[in-house]
Amino acid sequence: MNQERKRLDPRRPFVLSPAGLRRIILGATGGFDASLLAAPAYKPAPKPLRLKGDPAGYLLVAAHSQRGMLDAHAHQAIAAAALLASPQQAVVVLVFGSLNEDLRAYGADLVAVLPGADELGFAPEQELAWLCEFVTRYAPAHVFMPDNEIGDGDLGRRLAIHLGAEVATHVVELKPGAVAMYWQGGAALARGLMPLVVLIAPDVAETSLPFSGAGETVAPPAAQAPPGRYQNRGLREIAASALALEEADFIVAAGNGVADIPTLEAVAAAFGAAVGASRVAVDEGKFTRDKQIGATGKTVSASTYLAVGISGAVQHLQGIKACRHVIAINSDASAPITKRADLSVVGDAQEVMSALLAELAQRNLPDTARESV
Amino acid sequence: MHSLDHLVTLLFWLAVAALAFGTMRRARLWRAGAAAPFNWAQLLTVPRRYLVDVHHVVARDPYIARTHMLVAGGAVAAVALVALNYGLMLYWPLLNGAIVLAAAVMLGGSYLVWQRRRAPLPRLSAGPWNRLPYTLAAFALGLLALALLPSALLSGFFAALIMLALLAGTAELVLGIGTGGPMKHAVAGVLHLAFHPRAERFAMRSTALRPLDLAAPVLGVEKPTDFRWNQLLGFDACVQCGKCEAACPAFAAGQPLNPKKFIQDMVLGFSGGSDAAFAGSSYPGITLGGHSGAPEEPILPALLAPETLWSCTTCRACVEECPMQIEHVDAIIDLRRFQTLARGALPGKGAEMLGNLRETATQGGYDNAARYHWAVDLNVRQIRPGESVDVLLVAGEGAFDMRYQRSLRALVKLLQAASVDFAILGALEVDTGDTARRLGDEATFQAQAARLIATLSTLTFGRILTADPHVFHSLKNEYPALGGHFTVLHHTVFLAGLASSGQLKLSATSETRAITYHDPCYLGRYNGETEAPRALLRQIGVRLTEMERSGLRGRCCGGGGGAPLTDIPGTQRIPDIRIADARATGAGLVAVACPGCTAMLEGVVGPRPEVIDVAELLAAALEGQA
Amino acid sequence: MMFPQLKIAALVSVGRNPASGAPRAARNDVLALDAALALAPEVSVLHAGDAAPALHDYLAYGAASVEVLPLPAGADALAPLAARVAGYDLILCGQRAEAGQGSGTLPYRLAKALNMPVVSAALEITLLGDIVEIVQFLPKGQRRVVRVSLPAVIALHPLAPRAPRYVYARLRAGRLLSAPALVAAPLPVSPWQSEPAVKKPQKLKPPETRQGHARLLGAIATESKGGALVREGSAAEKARAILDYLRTNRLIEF
Ligand SMILES: Cc1cc2nc3c(=O)[nH]c(=O)nc-3n(C[C@H](O)[C@H](O)[C@H](O)COP(=O)(O)OP(=O)(O)OC[C@H]3O[C@@H](n4cnc5c(N)ncnc54)[C@H](O)[C@@H]3O)c2cc1C
Ligand code: SF4
Ligand code: SF4
Repeated sequence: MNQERKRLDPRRPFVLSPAGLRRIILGATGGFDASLLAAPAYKPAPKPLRLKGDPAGYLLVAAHSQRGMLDAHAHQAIAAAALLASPQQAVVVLVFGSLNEDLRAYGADLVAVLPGADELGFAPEQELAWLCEFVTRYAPAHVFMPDNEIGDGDLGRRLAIHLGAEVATHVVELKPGAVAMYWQGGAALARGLMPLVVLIAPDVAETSLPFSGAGETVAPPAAQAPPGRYQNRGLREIAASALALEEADFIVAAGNGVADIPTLEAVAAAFGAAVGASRVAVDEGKFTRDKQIGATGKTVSASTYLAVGISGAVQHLQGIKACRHVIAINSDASAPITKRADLSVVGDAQEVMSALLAELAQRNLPDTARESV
Repeated sequence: MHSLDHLVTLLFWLAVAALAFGTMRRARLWRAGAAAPFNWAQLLTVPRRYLVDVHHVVARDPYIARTHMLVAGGAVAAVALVALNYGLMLYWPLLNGAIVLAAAVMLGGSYLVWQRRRAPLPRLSAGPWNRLPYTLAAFALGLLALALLPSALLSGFFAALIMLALLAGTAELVLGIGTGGPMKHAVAGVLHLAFHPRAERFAMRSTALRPLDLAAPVLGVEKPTDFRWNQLLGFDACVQCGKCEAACPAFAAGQPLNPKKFIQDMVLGFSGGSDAAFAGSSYPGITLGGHSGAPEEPILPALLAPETLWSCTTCRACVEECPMQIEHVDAIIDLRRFQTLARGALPGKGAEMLGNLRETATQGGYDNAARYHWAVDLNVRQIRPGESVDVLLVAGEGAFDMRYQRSLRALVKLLQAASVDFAILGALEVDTGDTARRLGDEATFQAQAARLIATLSTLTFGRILTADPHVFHSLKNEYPALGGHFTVLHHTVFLAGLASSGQLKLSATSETRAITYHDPCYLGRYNGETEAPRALLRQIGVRLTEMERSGLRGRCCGGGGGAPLTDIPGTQRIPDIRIADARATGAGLVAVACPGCTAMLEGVVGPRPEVIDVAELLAAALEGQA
Repeated sequence: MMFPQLKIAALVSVGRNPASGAPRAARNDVLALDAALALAPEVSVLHAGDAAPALHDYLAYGAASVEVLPLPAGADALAPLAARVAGYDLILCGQRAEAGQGSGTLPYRLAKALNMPVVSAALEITLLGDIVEIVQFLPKGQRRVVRVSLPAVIALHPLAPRAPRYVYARLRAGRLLSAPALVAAPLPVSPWQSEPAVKKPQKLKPPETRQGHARLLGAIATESKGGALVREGSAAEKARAILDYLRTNRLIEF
């Protein structure tokens, strides 16, 4: 009997519910059905509104959009405000830059958009004037902004200093009325009452909420700042493949198990990833030395590290200590890298890379992935 | 025809004058160097140093030992006799007979030199060195003719011919020192033996670097004249035999270093000129003619490329092989000291490691409190002030390496099995600063040493035990000059003692693979300890198959001198060469005794012999083991 | 190009090694010092606080001297620094301190006190007469070029492409100078209470409404991410497993 018992395959196909839950797809026995992932077969049930009645107060969230979207960090700022707001407090979101997404799922009640002011612009005085106008208009109890490098961290500090207000930066923990942040480079945690301006670190709030925001559009601020002291001379872009590895957020790295470098580079290009290598691959002349990752090479901190044909020697792992998600493609299931990796695919590098390229070609790459190539 | 004899007398005294003049000229160059103690009486040490120390090295190559004995012995005897008979104008036929004998010996030697140079080894220099068999033979032949043939019988033409031969030979012998020719080595070599900058080496194995005065106006060596004068003299003693080149692991790996060329470049530095005329192998990847130097010019980068300086693993194989007892590593460290302390110009991860040492007391920037995490479940004692212990275990940087923790745990197991009274230094331990010192950072080394000495002086222990030869070397040989006097043992030596006294009971190993042993440079060459690990392996029934280069002449793994940090590219990696050495013996297992060697040899990819520390092999062979 | 006629100040703080907590020259401030030295041969290197031994590191990194402005423990460095650098053309500092609060607000407060523009996340700084051009860091390989006129405050980004050298000989030659206090720094009442960071910060989450079994399932679903091994299946399935992982963790957005 015991032998008869069917075990559930932990890697059975599933879809991800809006609440972040995995849903095993019943009936499917193995492998993935791409169509299920591309177009979920279910309709999300409408969620209840969080805000009860007319607002009696406000929390303000401000963030820059990128190509019409707010990033996860900004979503967390909105969700944090929504989770902290009282049932009578409305969450006002001021978006610098255009917006092509629905922010209700993150709890936005009122949304104002400034289409011309995305993260690529730099006009701190004008943006500060707009933000101040909203602070005056809504008199928010708190202003939440993601403490990021695309302009919100900068603007948030300018706001606090301009208003002469208390500010909490790099906030890692939020509770009703209270914040906590690291001091002493992470050795101490400082707690205090929530100040007016709250600049939050990534991942401080859950974004899958059991409620929804009202999502009404409101008029953006209209203040005009006098001609400013800052002159924006435009952008320069570095191709992902040429990006310094220390800076890259997605790295595809090749080891001794990769023979076909062009395919690997194509995979990296498809992901908009930078290319790195193990020492052996560098020694063989397949890559220049500045691509080497590890004890004697670069120390990287990409969120995603795809290690192709890399055994995972300690000296190599030393260089990827800070990487959040490590994925390995290796023909040897017992290679040390599989202990470090969050996902290991056992197989021939060449075959899996080609399959990846084929899969990626089938999907229409959205602008985000393509443009950063 | 007494005129010929008088002519020879004249030639002799002219030659003496030329030699004296040339030596003075050369000495002027040496004396531009920094001060060093000097005492004429040291000249008396030369015969012993020559016959014992130089001979000890030269005798490894019996052919050249014989050759040199004949040529040099014959020449010295002949010149002495000529001095007597012609210099003092005795013109005794009997002495002429003796001259014939000496000249014949020299001629035989010249023939051997000629033989050797017909198909020269790649390590030998060509150029002026190739004319040596001919000029030496000319001198010998000239003397033979002069002494054999009654001058009355000689035609004017023949007499002129003899004089020409003598002139050529004499010019070679006496002008070398003044002009920098090959025979320079005869004068400089003798003086170098007398005034050697590391005189201790003639009494014992001497490998410790000398402390640098951190208040000195120049930190290390920037210009040739920053070397001490006797170092400059030492460079001049080089005979370009290339023994060092053949032994150098960096050269073999195609890294831009060749110790022979390095010494010749230092000669160029204090005498001035370009390296275009160098007649040996260049630094791999660097073409000749691009570098030149002058006594008061910075050595880097005009004379020496930084990559050359940072390729050295400080393995001392060159020093071990050098018949002229030249100290390459000391010179390299002197140059590194200036680059690091006065320029901050270390390549690769060198500077990062030094910053880590200053800030965390570990090389890798680890939390020092985690140094003994590998021992938490082993029930070992942590030393405390006021409690005494016999053996104090100092782990070194290997303690942070998961691989080497296996070796350390094996060592602890052995100590426990032998009921040794021991404790670990624990979080009190700080890095010895050894690697900082090899990278030229004497300031950080001395700061680390001061910290560690201060800590150790608060503790009561009998001896220090370590599994890291670099820790061993610095504590044992280099800390005394900074006021730290300890009895220090490497684990192989200590365990060999325990095993032979029966305190450590070992049975035969179950290992069936063929085993070879790799000598760590800092245990073998630096400390002369090649026997203890082998004795231990014999004890557990291992029959070693030795690699071609082993013992005091073992080949470096590439891990010394901070070389893995500066990581200068070559055409291959040093550990690959060493693993090839091991494979050539058919070994399936390389026994090691150093965390550095373990890491380097295990870094070789593809199928290779397994790398296991002696302590691990012993722990597996502990008696009573399941 | 060097601009000897300009008055340039580099503000330096005592940093903290993340592993050992040992005081050191703060990495970002070292970059600021290095950038300043590339612009002018003479730079005023200023520190408000104690004459801590770690400040010697800045000498090694090229400061001829470090001027220490006395500051009572816990006091706000703004007033003495602002008083000292009044009249300077360019004030460089690190974007965020390693020790202390490290809030990254000092450059902004200083700029406001001195009525100067402030540009942060600076990678490269070029002087063009009385204008300074700054290449600013943006994520994903983007760079923005911004110009402001002098005087200005500029905060250096940690990825600024500079290679400062630690030179013992300079440490030996340089000196810490203590300067008289120009103004008294007020002792602020800190609204913050700090404790050793032992516990992980808690993520803000909606109140849990699911019941027993659902909660358990939820826990399993979120924890089953690490260390998965995919052996079986075709190459295409394996490729899809990778894409799926990336999507699940929002590492790619399609
Ligand atoms: C002092 C020192 C410093 C070092 N510093 C570094 C460093 O900074 N960076 C670094 O990377 N290394 C460093 N190393 C080297 C390190 O120890 C390893 O040797 C190296 O990382 C191994 O590289 P690799 O994984 O590419 O090669 P290998 O160890 O040869 O691994 C290749 C992997 O590819 C897999 N494979 C083979 N064929 C295929 C295929 N067709 N499809 C899929 N998989 C395949 C194999 O199973 C294997 O796991 C250092 C070593 C030392 C001693
Ligand atoms: S010490 Fe070793 S690596 Fe350095 S020059 Fe001599 S032989 Fe070469
Ligand atoms: S340094 Fe010594 S070993 Fe090297 S070539 Fe000169 S004499 Fe020979």
